[in-house]
Amino acid sequence: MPEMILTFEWDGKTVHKQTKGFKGSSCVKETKFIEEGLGKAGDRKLKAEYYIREQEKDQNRTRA
Amino acid sequence: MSHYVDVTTEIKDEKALVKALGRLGYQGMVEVYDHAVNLYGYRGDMRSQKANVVLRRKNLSSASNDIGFERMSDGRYRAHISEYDESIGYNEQWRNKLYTYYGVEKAKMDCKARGYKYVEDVDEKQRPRLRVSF
Repeated sequence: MPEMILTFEWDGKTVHKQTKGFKGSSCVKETKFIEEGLGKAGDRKLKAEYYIREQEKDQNRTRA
Repeated sequence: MSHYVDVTTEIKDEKALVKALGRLGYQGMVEVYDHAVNLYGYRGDMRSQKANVVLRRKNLSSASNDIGFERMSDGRYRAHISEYDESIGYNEQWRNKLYTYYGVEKAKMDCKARGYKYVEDVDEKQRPRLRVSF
């Protein structure tokens, strides 16, 4: 099941957001409301599985 | 796809701020105003500082002044806390704790508004954590 984990630092401003289990690029779209609601998001770090999926997409495009 | 991102919290939501104050022990004691009102000192003297979210001195200590949070033109809230109250514990550490709880409460409100279920707990470092199911 797709999940978002938010961890709150005690400095009163830093929130770590982690997502997992989402298909495709939906995780950014479906969880962006949290960033917009809390404040300003920093740089996004994509997990390895993102690149694997994107690579698979490229291969499928080449075959088609 | 999965990703990580760090978000910097801005204090902009009045309801979440009130809920956060509630978590610090001031549930039902917070006054909220659309138009900012003056704060009062420990002798009952009216101060020049104004606030939209107010914690009256009667709920603090006998020598305390009102604590308030004023909504600025950009929508963010600014804390008004006297030097005395800073010295008795309403200091940066207290504000950081308050703003941390603000983030938790704001995130819970936003998830609830979209119908997502969540569980709140703490991680291995005792930091508040929300696990949200989609």
